[in-house]
Amino acid sequence: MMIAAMAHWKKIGIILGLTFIALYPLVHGDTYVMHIFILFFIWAVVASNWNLLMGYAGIFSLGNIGYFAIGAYASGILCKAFGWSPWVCILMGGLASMVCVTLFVGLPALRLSGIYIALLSLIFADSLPTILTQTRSITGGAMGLHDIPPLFEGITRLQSYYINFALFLVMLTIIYRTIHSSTGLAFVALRDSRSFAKALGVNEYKEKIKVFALVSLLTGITGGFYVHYLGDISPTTLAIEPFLLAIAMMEMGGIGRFPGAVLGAVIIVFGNEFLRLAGTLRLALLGALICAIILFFPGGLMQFIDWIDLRLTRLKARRAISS
Amino acid sequence: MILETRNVSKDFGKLAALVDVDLAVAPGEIFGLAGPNGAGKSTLFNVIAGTFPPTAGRIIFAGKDITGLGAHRICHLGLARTFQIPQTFASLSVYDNLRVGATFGGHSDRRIRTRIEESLAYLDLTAFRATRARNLDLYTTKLVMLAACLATGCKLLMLDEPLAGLSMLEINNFLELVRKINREHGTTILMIEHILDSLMDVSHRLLILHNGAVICTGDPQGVCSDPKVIEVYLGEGEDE
Repeated sequence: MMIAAMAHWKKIGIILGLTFIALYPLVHGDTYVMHIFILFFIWAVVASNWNLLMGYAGIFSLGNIGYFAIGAYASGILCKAFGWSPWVCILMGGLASMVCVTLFVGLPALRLSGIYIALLSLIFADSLPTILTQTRSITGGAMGLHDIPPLFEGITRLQSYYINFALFLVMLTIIYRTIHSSTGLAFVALRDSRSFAKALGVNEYKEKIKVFALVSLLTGITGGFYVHYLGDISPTTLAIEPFLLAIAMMEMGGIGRFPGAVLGAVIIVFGNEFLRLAGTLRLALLGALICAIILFFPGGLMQFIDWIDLRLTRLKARRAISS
Repeated sequence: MILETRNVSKDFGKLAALVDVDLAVAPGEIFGLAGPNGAGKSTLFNVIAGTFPPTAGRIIFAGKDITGLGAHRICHLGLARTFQIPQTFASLSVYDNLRVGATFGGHSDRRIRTRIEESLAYLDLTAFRATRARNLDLYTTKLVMLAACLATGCKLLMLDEPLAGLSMLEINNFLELVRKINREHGTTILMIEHILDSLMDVSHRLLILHNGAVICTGDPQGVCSDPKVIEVYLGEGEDE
C-alpha cells in the first residue's frame, strides 16, 4: 500500500494541491490570501505560456510581459471606451495581442535565430511603455488606466477566485495538450535538431508562427483577466521587476518541463508576498533563493522532483530485493 | 530516373564547392557517392535535400523540379536523408523520434502508429522504444536516424557517411540493413561513404567527386580501374 502510494506520489501531490486550492476559500477564505492565490493563477499561466515558447519551442523570446500587457490594455480600453462586455473585451484583447505579436515578432523571428529573437522581442516589449506614455488620451499614459469594469457588477473576491482558478485549469490543460500534440512534438524536434526535424518534413515556419500565435493569444487573454480583476493597469507592469519574476518562475520550475513554471510561480508569488516582511531585503532574499535552487538543482524544481523520484525507485528496488 | 541533377553548381563566396555536377539515380538502385575530403559530397547532399539552393542547375526528383524547395517540402515528396554528424532528437524517446518522421513526413493517412511500429520492428529497435535518444550508443543512434527516415515512407533514402565511427561488425550489419531496405522496400538509396571497399561492395553504381566536379561514374569495377580515380585516391605514381 505504502509502496503503491509512493509510485504515484506525483499524481497524489497534484490532486492534493488542486483539492487544497479548490477548497481553500470555503474552509478558511481569507480575502488577502485569496488575492495572492489569484495572482498566482495569473502568473502561473503567463510563465507556463512563456515556457511553452522558450522551453519547448526553444524560441528565445523575452517579450512575453509585453504580450500580456497588450491583452490587458486592449481589453481595458475597449471595455471603458465602448462599454462592451468584459468577456468579449478579454477575447478581443487576446486577439489583439495575437495579431500584434505574430506580425511584429513572429514574422520577423522566422528570419532570425537565438539571441536575435531575444533582442527583437525585448525591444518589442520595451517600446510599449513609450508608446503608452505617448498615447495618453487612450491609454492614460504613465498614470495608467483606472476604473476598468470588473467581469460583472458586484463580483466578490470568492467569485474572482473561482473564475481565475478555472482560467488556470483551462489554460494549463490547453498548454499540456499542445505539448503532447503533434505540434508539441514538432517544437521539441526543432529545438533538439533543427536540420533533422526539417529533413523529416517539419515545416519550421508554420510551427514557429503557430506557437507565437497560440502563446500570444493565451497570454493576452490572461492579461485581460488580470486587468478586469485588478481594475487598473499602468506601464509599471512592463517594468523590470515583473519581467524578472516571470523569468525566475520558469528558471526555478525548470525550463522545458511541463508543470515546472507552475511550481516556480508558487515559490515566487507566495515567496514574494511572504518576504514583504523583510522590507527592502525582499528582492535580495528572493534572488538568493533563486541562486540556491539554480546552484543545487540547475534543472529547477522539476529536477528536484526527478531526484526524489530516483530515490524512491531505489528504495523500492532495495525493499524488493530484501523481501 | 528517380533523381537527377543537371549542371548543378554551388559557390560559397569565391569557393566553387560544386561544378556542373550531373547525377542520375535509377529507381531501385543503390548508388554510391565517394571522393576525398572536401570533394563536395555533403554539399551535393545538402543541395539535393534543400538545406540550401544550388547557385546554378536544376534538380529533378520523381519527375518534379525540386530546385530551391525547402527541406520539409522535399521530404514530403518522398526523399529522406541522414546526416554525417548523427542527428536525433536527444530529449525524446526512440519512439517519439520515429513519430516525428511518421507524423510530418508527408503522409495524409492516419496509420502513424502502424508505421512507427513497423519501422521499429524492421530495424530491431523495439527494445529501445522508451529510451531517450541521448542515452544511445553511436550505432543505435544511427539506426534511430535511419528508422525515423523510414517512418516517413520515403522513396529515396540518402545516407551521409553512415559507416563513420562504426566497428567492422557494425559496418557489416549496417550494410546488410541497407541491402535489406533496398531489396524488400524497393527504396532507392544514395549513399556517401569514405570507406571505398564497403561502398563498392554495396553499390550498384558509383560516382566519384573531386574538387566539386564529377571525375568518374559507372559500375564499381569500372570506377576502381579508372586512372583518374586511382590518381585521386592513391596519388600520382610517376612522382615517386
